[in-house]
Amino acid sequence: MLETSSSHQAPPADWHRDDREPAVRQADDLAWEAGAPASSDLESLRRELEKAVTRICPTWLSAQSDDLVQMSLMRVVEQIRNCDEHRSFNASYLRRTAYCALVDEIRRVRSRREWSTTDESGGDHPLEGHGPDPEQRLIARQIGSHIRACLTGLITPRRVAVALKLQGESAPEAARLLGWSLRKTENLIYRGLADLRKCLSQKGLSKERGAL
Amino acid sequence: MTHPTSDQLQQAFTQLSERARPRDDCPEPDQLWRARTGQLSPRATRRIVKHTVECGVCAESWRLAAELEAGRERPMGRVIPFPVPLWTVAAAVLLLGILVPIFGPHLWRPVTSIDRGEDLERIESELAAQEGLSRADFHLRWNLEPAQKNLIRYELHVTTEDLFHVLVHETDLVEPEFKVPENLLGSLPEGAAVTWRVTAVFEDGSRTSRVFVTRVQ
Repeated sequence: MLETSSSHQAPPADWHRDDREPAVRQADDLAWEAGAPASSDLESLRRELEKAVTRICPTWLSAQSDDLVQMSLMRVVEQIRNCDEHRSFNASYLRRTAYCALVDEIRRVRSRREWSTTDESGGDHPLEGHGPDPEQRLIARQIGSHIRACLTGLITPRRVAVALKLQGESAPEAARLLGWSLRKTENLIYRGLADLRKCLSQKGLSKERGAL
Repeated sequence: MTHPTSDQLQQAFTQLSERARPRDDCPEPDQLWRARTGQLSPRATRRIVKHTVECGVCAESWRLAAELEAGRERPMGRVIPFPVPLWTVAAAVLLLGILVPIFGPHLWRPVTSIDRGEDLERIESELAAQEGLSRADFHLRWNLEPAQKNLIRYELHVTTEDLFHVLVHETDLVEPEFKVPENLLGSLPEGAAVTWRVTAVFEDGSRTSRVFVTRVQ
């Protein structure tokens, strides 16, 4: 038998004051003092999450992006409520907590999703995607798989530097995160990309072949 | 032989995430966040970046962290003054007027295939969109589509719009419905939004959730 728990609690009588002027500001101040984020912080966090999810999530997940954002926000609030300590939560903490909740949700949705085609690694699924042309989708997926295979063959420093480059990071940012000098990082990216292109050529992937 | 550009490689690499599944050895989301925001040691960060090469989900999560960080750093609504002579604007408009009728149909191609994940089970509200409920009969109803035989229970979490005041927290509902007691809604004003999250729990321990908003009439 499953454990059952339930709790019902009426909200404070004045929680809903919506006259945005001094009342809300005062409520937000009180919330901060009580360790809760201000409603304006949550709203701003929601906007940030929505923007990031919209830009990042693939098409199939975008249909659920509102749910993902809302659920991650609810988890933020739950976590704050469950925190015993009397402390304040700054915007940076809220962003991190929301990010963790969002990634958890994305992992949960992705792991539950059933695919019509699976590859041998149990990881990615090369035959599905979005785009106008199924053949182009298939080619793009295959190229991605080849890129990954080629990256795996690179020596570790080059692999890491090129991976960040392919993730859209700038060389200075990559250098900062990886703890290398800018010169070294640029060199690793340059040589790593050259290795990657050479490897792809050996696999028959080049512009002439129409694959890239 | 012409080699692919960095942008082309980047695009192809990004597409690997679209159908990826999480792996057993994925780092905790917090570790990903700390790595991307420079709070981990370079050594630990390199280990995580190596993982993102092989894991599309974590690669996507890395980009998500980067987006959130970029959003924080990007000033909103900033206007950069850039003097543009009036004649260049007029020329651009004229050029568009000529080119769009000629090439327009070829420029905008409709997306013919959008996968919206219909095959994933999904909780749907049985209340009509925009439907408010009276506080005397605040009866929440939902449905799991498609119906799942291995469903064992529902959880329901009802809060005020600011998410901070929990009105109801039920963890063992068998039926897809719940009537919120009127006394819990007593202090809410007319038109107040109530947020409710339903979680379906399955035999294998997996869950799926959905959030809805209903107003008090």
